[in-house]
Amino acid sequence: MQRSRGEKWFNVFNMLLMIAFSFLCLYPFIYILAISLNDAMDAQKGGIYMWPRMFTWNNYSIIFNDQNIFLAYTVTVARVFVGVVTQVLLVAMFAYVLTKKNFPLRKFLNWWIVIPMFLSGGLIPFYITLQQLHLLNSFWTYIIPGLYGAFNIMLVRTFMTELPEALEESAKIDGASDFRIFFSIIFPLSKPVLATIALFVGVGHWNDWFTGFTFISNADLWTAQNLLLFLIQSNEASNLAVLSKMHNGTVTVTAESIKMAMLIVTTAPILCIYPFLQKYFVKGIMLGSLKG
Amino acid sequence: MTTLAGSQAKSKRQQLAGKILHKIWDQRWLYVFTIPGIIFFLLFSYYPMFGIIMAFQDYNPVKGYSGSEFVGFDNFNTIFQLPDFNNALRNTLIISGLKLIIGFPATILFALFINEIHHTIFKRVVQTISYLPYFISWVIAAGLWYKMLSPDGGLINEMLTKVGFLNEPYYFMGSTTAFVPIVLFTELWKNIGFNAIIYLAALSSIDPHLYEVSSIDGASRVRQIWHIALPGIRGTMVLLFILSASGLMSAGFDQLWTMGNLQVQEVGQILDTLILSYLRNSGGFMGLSLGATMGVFQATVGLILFLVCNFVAKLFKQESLI
Amino acid sequence: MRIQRKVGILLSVATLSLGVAGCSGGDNGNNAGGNNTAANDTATTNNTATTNDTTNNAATNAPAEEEAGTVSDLKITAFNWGWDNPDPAKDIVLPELTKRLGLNSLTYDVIKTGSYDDVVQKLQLWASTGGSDWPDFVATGADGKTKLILNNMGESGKLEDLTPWLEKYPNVKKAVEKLLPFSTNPHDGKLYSIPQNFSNMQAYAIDQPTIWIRKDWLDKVNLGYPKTVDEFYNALKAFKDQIKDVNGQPVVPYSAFGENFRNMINLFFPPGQNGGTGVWYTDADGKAARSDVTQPENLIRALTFYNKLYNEGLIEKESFSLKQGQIDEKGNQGRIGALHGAYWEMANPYTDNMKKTDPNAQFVGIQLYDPAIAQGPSLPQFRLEAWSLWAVKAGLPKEEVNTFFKTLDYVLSEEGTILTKYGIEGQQWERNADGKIVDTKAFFDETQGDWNKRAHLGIDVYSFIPNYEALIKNQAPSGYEMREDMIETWKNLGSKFPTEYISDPQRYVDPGDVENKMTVGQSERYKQLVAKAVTAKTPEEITKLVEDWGKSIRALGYDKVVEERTEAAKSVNLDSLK
Repeated sequence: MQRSRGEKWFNVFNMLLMIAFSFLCLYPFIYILAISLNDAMDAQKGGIYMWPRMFTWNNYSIIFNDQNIFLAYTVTVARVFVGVVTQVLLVAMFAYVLTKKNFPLRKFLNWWIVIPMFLSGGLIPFYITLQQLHLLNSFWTYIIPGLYGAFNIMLVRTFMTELPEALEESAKIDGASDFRIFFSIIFPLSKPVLATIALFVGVGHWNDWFTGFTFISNADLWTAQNLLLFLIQSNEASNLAVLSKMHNGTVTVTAESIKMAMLIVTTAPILCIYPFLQKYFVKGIMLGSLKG
Repeated sequence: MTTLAGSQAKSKRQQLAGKILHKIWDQRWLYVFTIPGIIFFLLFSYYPMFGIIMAFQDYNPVKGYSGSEFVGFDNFNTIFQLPDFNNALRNTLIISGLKLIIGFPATILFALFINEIHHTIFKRVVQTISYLPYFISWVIAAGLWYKMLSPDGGLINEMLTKVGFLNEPYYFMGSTTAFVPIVLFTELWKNIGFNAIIYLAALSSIDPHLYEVSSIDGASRVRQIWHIALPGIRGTMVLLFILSASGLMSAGFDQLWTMGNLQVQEVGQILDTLILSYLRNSGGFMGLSLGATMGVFQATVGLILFLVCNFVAKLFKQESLI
Repeated sequence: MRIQRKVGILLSVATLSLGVAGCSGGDNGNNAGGNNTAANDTATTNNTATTNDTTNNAATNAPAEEEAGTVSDLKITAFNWGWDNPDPAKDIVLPELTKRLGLNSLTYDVIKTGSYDDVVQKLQLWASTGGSDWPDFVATGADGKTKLILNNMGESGKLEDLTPWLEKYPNVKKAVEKLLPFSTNPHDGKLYSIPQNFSNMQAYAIDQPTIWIRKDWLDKVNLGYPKTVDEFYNALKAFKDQIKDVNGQPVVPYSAFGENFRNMINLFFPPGQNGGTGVWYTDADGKAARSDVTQPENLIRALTFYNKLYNEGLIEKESFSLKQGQIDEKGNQGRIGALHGAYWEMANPYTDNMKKTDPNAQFVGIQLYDPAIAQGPSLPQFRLEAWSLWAVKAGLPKEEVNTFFKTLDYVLSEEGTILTKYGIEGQQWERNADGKIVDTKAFFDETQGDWNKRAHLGIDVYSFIPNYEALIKNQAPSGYEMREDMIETWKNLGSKFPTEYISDPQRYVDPGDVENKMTVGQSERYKQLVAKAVTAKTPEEITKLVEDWGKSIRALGYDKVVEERTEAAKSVNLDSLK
């Protein structure tokens, strides 16, 4: 009796704690959404915490009225797609080899990927390299320098080591080549971890603005992140653009309100997708980082 | 005699060569799978490392690496004399050390609490929500917390003053005392859910039978956690602790770059942010060399830490991280 | 920072604050004049220069023209970090300009970046690849680092020495002549960049750090415009005690610092002797000096003043972390009593926004002085300087460079200036009764004077090197100039235009090698010093901070920089100031 009452209290306490924590995680988004859907001038009065007081789509229409936004979204989607597919495939192949204990280059390859995690030459030599490889100012600037990720390789490698060896061995006895074993057995079995890195890579590509700003001079090749950051940089010069936009007679938006709408526009796609990938990435991380 | 021995040796060599070739042919796909990766890292990671020369030069981008003057270890002397650098080094160690000491047990605790929820749907919803902050960038997260903690109409100050906890709004982000705790708190807020996944996995692999037996013995929940759950995830804990310890030289660039401000730079400037600000706003080209020098210092210490930790991990788990 | 921003805007719009003022300033609906501004109607005297007509391009008077022909396609590159570009579908200026120049195509390539820091980074990266992706003709900013990159590029033979070209195009030379001493590379005497935009005393209204204060609040608390820092303090105190905002909330009496670190620390020093760590002056012994090191007592007084404001809640509590957008928000809401800003960027938009809820609300610019060191406000001064620069890649075909200069030359003519600045007669502009240029009604209705909307048509974008005389001669006084708050402001400032150029040679010395080495990271550290001192708990703390600061600067090699600068100042040629 005593024990079950204690347990009940524990459960209640735990539930409340988790509800509070969940609220803490959710609240910022509720807040941004409320501000972004509220009339900008009204929002400046403050006091909006949970839902809009004067509902409007204005902040969003400013963003979507930008002539270049659709081109930028196309580039972004293409980039995410190509980037994810290529990296997942290449990383999986590389990681698979690292699980082969009898492969002579294994140790060398492990070090080969670890050292760059710590040492890098910096931006200028990287730029010079890209220039020498003719990889500036093209769509491939987004893809090729990001084909591999050392951390992802390590994650996938660990996952693959945990796969039952028996499957592979029986395939070997049947005379299957490493190529066939990889594509017909290992690759499908690694779905959880591959979904995990697909998510990482996709989010990375989606959120990246640095590549566009630094290596691409042609604004037609910009991604949505570049464009939106350019629209509303927090630095002074661009506030000017926003301010002057406000100044065509009727003030409908402010830098802050567009910023909030921008946050929603740029993060919403990720937030919509990750819950569906959740069961994969949880499994992927679990198995990828655990040994035995 | 000699010819016979010679031909024997030759045929042995041939045999050996044949074996090696055969083995290579046998593993041809493995080579095919890795060669693109080897080339990739060579081109995009190793080749650009020539930039490290900058740390030993008075680098001028127009003159390039070949034309700039070499200065030996002068740049290293310079950075150790800079008040910025010593401050940033200290802050880096303090912040990442605290993140380790506090974040590490907190994550385990969080995983244990989640694990104790027995309502499946509730558990899943909490988990999903807990990953949410992980997916937003620090730029956004920092902006949000600035707003929430603002002494001018920020939600937290309004609540605290309404409850009577504070007499007047407190400027959290401008306080050198409050800043580091806020950095730790927001770090936890953003990453705890995601980091807990690993522990939850380890917890779920504990044999449920152990719990049943202890329940029958009348053990309380707390005792169960202490005697069953924690020992069950000990291996994971050790491994992750060592892993995080090897990252001691990076205290979280994105977070500190977006959350820091002039009033708290004294405690909030870390190596990574200092390097970037040198690379961006420097007198002439000098910042390029000095930034690169700090980078080399940081990487060297980081690599040594990693090797040490890797060694320790080997001792514990009989296997290495690489 | 201020200069840099200015450069930024000017760069993209390739024109003067004439455009900028219209952009962020007085574009409220009643601004009949559209976006023309600072070129005033009074200063039309000095008009001897380049009112050349269209036929008078260099072709007729430059003998070199025969050697170098022209090409039919030209591409020009510029940067932009946050405003609107011409819309190729709507652009009417570029096709007309192409036609008038007899070109087949004229491309204006705009590279978008995040900030001017990004531009410098880009230039640096271009330079680091040996200049292979450096654009043929590019407009850059004119800050120290950009100049350093350009001069280095030139010295290594990658940029064209433009001196001979200026000889061939006397009109271009005449327009930028005064600034050439400051653009010349000190090492080899060659000219690797020429000014694109530059300061001009007749065309620029005062653009000093100015304090804007709520006139309607001053009236409410029965105070006149403050003139000294002490009167300013009293006004702020009265604001804090007696004013509530429209929602009944307490107000922010004074907003300083913020993302752009705006302040009036310089008022506590002799005129022209403080601007943080970047500004040097010549001391009584004729040596270079920097006031944060040589005048600790003044720095302490300045920081103590701000410290008092901070501790008494007269200044924004979040002074050192607020983003500009947040300050704007509060300004628009009518919650700020006084703030900093150049005349064209801050106060007028706030006033216009506030008027929607509070018809009396009005910011007016004032000028203060510190009675401890001055008898009255100092005269407005102006640094003769380029705000942005043209650079031409070396090794281009002569014909191509010639075409570029021909383009500059044409844009500089009165006809070219009018086309690029106002558009086409009858379509975008017409002449009013005084013979001055004003927007046509249809055009004004379409754009409401919004600079960005005008930019879509290419207006005010391609005025590469401005012809001030032509602008002053043709431009009607704008609605902006007739705004009540502006008239009041100029009254407070004593003059609408700067009265003289800064003549201290130290202000024209570019940092040398020793200085560059010593000053790495210093401006950031100075800001931290200010932040710490302003928020300090006790006066002793401030004294200690400033003393330690001076010691640390000296330890880093201050004396060597003094030597270097004193030496460099000897070769500064200030003849063009006269």
